[in-house]
Amino acid sequence: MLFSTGTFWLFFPAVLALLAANRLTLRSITVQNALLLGASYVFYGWWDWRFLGLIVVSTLIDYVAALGMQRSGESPARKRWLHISVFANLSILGFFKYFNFFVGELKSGLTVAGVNADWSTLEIILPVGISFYTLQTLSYSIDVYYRRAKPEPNLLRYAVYVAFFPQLVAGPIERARKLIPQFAVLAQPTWESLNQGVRLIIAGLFLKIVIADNLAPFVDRIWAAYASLGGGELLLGMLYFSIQIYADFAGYSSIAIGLAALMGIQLSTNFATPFLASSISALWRGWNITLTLFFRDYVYAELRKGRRTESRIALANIATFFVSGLWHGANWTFIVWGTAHGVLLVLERRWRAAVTLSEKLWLKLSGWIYTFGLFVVLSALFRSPDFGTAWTVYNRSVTEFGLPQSERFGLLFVALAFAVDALWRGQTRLDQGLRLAWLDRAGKEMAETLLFAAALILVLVNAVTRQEANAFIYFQF
Amino acid sequence: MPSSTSNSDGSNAKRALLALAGVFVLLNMALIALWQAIPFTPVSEGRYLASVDDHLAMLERSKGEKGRIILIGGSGAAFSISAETLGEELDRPVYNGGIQAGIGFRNLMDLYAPHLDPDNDLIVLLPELELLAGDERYSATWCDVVYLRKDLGRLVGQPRCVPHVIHRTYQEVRHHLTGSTAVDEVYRRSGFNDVGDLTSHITIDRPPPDFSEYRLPDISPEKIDRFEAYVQDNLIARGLAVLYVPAAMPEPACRWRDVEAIAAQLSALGSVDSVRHDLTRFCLPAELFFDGAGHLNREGRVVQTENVRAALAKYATN
Repeated sequence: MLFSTGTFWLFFPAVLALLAANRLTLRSITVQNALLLGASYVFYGWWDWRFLGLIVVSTLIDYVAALGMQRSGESPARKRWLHISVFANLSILGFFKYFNFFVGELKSGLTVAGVNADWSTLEIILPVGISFYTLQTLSYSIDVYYRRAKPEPNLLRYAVYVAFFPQLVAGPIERARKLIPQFAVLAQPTWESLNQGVRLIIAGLFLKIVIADNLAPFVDRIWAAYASLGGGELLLGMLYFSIQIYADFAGYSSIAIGLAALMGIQLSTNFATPFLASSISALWRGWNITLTLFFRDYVYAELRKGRRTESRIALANIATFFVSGLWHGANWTFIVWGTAHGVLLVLERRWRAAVTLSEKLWLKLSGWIYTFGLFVVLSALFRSPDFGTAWTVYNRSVTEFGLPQSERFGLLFVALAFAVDALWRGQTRLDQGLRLAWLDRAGKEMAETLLFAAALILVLVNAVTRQEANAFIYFQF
Repeated sequence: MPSSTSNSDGSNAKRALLALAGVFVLLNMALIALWQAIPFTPVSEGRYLASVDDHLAMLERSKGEKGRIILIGGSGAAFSISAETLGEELDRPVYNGGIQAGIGFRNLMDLYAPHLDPDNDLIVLLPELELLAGDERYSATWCDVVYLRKDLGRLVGQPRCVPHVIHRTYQEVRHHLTGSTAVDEVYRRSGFNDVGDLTSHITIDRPPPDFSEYRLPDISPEKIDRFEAYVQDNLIARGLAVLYVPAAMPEPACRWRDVEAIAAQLSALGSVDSVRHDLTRFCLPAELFFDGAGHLNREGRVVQTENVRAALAKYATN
């Protein structure tokens, strides 16, 4: 069930109504959590009911492991429980996401070595959102082990934490200590949370339906004809894809946070105008924030342990981004994309003075050009199905360079995306409203109201006039 | 959410939310007012669906004509039958009320209802399979009809059309700005003749469509029941004579037994003596079709017109 389809907007008000009925009559936390779990499983099972078995197994593994750690006290069994959890989670992820990739690579290697390797591989379906909820459950076990979170004795509460539908399939990846306590009380939406929620949902739908979905045909056309297009069109393709993936994922996150806010639940911010950043490190501080923090806390922190030499830090950075690339997809293009970002971070750290944020406008501007430009260029790796395609795209971008003769209309949506970011600039949520500093308070309120109302109309117009709803890109990861 | 919210923050948020809802409604109303005020460009005035008003005028003009026959279907009826020929051969006034299945049978008949005459009219139902499968009250095509007729009353009845109307209004403004006048060579209002037949395609030669991948549309028993209930309650109950005649179908459609069952069920629906049709006569080879949407070409149109004439003759002799 996609947030951008009519089915979801029949489902969600029904969930809200049931939660409100519980708040007004029974006031039962158990009923609230049972409703949320039921709704989450319906939401997830809508794709394929067989996926539900996997999420139940994943939930039970970490629930039992955490309680096992608690019972084990300081004994070695505590670590064993952690190992069981980590092994089980990574095995599930590895099997469903990477099995065919590794078998394929093994077959290629053996064939090159002259060994006959013509066995058939399994037809494995990648369950939607597995990369996200597996990391969330993994973070829970690790946090319980390091006593950063308490083990949750209530299975229902823990199951809702794993499956909470607004953030189940593409994050934000929530830490147990932030989300589980919210299911221990009766969630109570306030006028503030409702106002925030509605605005975040409108902003998210605008990013997804008006910007990302309208850019998608441009990107698809350009990548379908990459071998014959000129450099200008190919560079536009990279630009459009960068904006598309940003609007798609930031839009999803914004809707997720807004939906949760309507239910009285607070989720973490996941995007903070990354394309206005003047350095690669700043970009990553604003891009898929909860995933970046996951890798920082659970991968980078582990790799950096011990003596903090520059080379160790550099290796930890590159290795973390290598893992991040691999997480995005079982393909070498993703791995190289991630690793390249890691290398850029290391270079940036080494020559920080040249690219650091500065109050000088020209330095900020050149930092932005370097940051956004590199992100756009590297995005060709992210979009291309293989290195051959990416190489052709890069090669033709240079050898066939010229002003684009077609596909220029997509620039309108690029401009819209930057307009949204400029209005949202520097904020992680919408707590302070939009950036309309030149207006007085009344004017600002009026302008904001007009902008959101107009955005909602554009969302509805685009939603009813498109052929079919596009899936969110990050669901595939 | 923060529990320490002060009352003033709460009331500010409440006010902001209500203001957003209010401005949203006002903006929609402003755009609807623009739609009502803006003069249509030739692009809209010449559009195929703009012929709905012509059909209504045609039915009103001929209301009371003795023995009037009105053919009802989607674009299959418009493209594939010559009411003009039928009128000459049967020596009765025959009108083609088919326009486009996407409008929805019930929506179209609601529009036609005031212009029908129970004392004189025979309604010949020729629903294409697509019309039975997709007879929804809400559809983009229906919203287009509402838009082109500037029909505020029906917009209130179907508020889901508001975004469509706004989108079309935006396109209208663009047509004004660009001076665009292009209208499709086949799907155009001027392609209909005085008795409602579409004739714009009969001089155009196109290669036959490929029906090798043809699949029967999803027609559940509930959809047939809905169609029957509407005909019973809104046509037969008003005293109108109703006869069912199968629409022309690509040959592969007849390979499904469902089609025969549907035809048998709908034959029994007629208010006049039911006519058992030989369905194979209505399943035609690809060479007789103009496009993949089941529209017949010049030769096919002759065949299906003869099919309808034969069905009407059989009815007359029953």
